[in-house]
Amino acid sequence: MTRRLLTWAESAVLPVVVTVLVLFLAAPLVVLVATAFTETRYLAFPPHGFTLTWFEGVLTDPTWRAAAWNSLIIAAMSVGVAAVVGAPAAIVLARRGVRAASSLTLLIMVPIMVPSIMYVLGLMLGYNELDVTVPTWGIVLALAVLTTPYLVRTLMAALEQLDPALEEAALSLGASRLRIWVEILLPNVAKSFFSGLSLAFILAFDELVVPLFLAGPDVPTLPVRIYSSVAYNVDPSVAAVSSLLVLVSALVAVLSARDNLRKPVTRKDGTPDGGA
Amino acid sequence: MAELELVGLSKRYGRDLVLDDVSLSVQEGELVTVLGQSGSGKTTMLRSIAGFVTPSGGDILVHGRSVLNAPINQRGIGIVFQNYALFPHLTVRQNVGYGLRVRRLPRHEIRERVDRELERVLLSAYADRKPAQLSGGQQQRVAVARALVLRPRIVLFDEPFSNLDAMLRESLRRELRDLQKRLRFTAMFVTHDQREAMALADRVAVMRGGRLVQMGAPTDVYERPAHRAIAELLGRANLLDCQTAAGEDGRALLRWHGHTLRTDDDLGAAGDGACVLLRPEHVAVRPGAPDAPAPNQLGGVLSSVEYHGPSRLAVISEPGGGTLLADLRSGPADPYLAPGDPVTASWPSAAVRVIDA
Ligand SMILES: Nc1ncnc2c1ncn2[C@@H]1O[C@H](COP(=O)(O)OP(=O)(O)OP(=O)(O)O)[C@@H](O)[C@H]1O
Ligand SMILES: [Mg+2]
Repeated sequence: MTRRLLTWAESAVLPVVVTVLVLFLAAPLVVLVATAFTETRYLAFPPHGFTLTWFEGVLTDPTWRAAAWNSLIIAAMSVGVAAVVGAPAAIVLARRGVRAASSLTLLIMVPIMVPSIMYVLGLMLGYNELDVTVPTWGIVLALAVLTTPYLVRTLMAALEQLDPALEEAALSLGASRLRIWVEILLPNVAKSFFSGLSLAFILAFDELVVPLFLAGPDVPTLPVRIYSSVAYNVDPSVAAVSSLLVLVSALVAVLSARDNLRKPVTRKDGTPDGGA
Repeated sequence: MAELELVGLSKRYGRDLVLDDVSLSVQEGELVTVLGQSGSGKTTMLRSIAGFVTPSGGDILVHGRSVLNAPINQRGIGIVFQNYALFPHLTVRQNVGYGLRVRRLPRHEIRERVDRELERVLLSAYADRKPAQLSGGQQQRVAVARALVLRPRIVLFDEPFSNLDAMLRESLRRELRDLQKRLRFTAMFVTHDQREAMALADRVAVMRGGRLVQMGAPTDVYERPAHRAIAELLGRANLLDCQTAAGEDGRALLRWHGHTLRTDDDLGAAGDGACVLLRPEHVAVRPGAPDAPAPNQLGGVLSSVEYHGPSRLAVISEPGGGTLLADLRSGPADPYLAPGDPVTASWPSAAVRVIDA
């Protein structure tokens, strides 16, 4: 009986998960994207008619373009900072036998666990106390702090997955530690590193709270611009921009996941898959 | 002078003494297999020699000189790992050439030596493949080639065949043996498999609980195990706890469940009791009860027969409650023996080996 129940439960899991995903993730997106094609001047679903006006408008509007440019630069810079700080941190933390590695890892993970609004409020108060307006690199650094944990996590996981015998084999062949890192270990985690980078980039690019609170309307990023236009005048431009944003995020995600999906990870056990 | 020498080597992890005062020496061009149960310290010993484990005591000498302070990447000791540890992102050719590149050899020389090595292990056709595109046996060969291309004088193998099926192991084992004799490197080969240990070795080192308990030629350890546990580690064994008694002719006798055993061994040192090793393949079995009681013979009932192809393993119960294993060679004209049949088991006195412990 239990066995039957179990198999029943198992076979039910996937459809349930898929349904939930579709309902809660895909449905709002469908509504959003569909709305972007409406001919009305207000958001309407289902859309009335079909037009590309809103996309055209958004793509030619200098304020939208400036916002996109801001987002791109800020996200890229913060990911750069996250990479410069996060990669060495991950390399050190993934080493077996590093003292206090687990508490340090926890420390790096704190930004994931603290609600970002609290973190941002703290930053704002700090800047207020100093009586300076937040410079752009302030936003960059704040975003870097928020995205570094994801980068460190993916890279650490990849490094820990590596067979420790790889390093030992290279050592026994006479290679120096530096050489082993550059020629053996890093090439084998490059893919994970890049998917960590793209994840960090998407997070930084889509982040609303940090640029909204720290910069206000002065350096509007795309999410900030969307937010304010929803607050002031709702027209289908917002839907068009959001659709583009979703498209870009999805593209980055697919690009970074493609290699991992297609190719199974290199086997570690070396079990034969056929005769010799 | 010995090529490799361990002197009182020990390793402690916390309170566990994982290697306990191990001393041994391996001659130039010799292949020593290390056999022992799981957890007996084989890998720890090998990793100490390679430099991955820092011993807690003792010394490791290569050609009479301590290597304890030599960095791993300068010990010049080749290693073949159990899971091969091939570099997944490099081709077979790049894997094999890695050590030569590290040594900054000229490019054409690297190419030549790699090609020659790949030919030797029959992998020339696979030079441009990645390790993931090879079968287990092929990966194994790449790992061997990668270590040997540097011509190390000492090569360590940690259960390199344990992921492979029995047929492949056997052929790789023979190839390795050939290669080792031809290139004359000194090798230490850890294995779980007692047949592999004996088939490959010039000498077998038997480990138990972190100690080296016996080291000798395969026939020595098999025929003259120093301990009953070693006898069992090396193959099926009848271990009979006997009482000693004085015989009429003055020669000592052994008694087991009322049966008399004669041995060619010297019983002088044995006290009241002795442990006797009788290998199953030395026990002959014929149908029917014995005609008359005689030494080195007993009557019993066949309690089971296991068919193994070339041989059959018979379990014989004798009336006193003892059991005896007999390995019967299968032949085309074998008498049919079924469980429950009365049988007579007998063996030559040379097969009765007295073990110290
Ligand atoms: N890094 C370590 N820390 C603590 N204990 C260890 C460590 N490495 C090995 N040991 C212990 O040392 C003992 C011997 O281990 P070792 O790996 O040498 O055994 P082995 O003979 O190679 O066994 P197997 O046949 O299973 O490979 C084991 O009890 C193991 O738990
Ligand atoms: Mg081991």
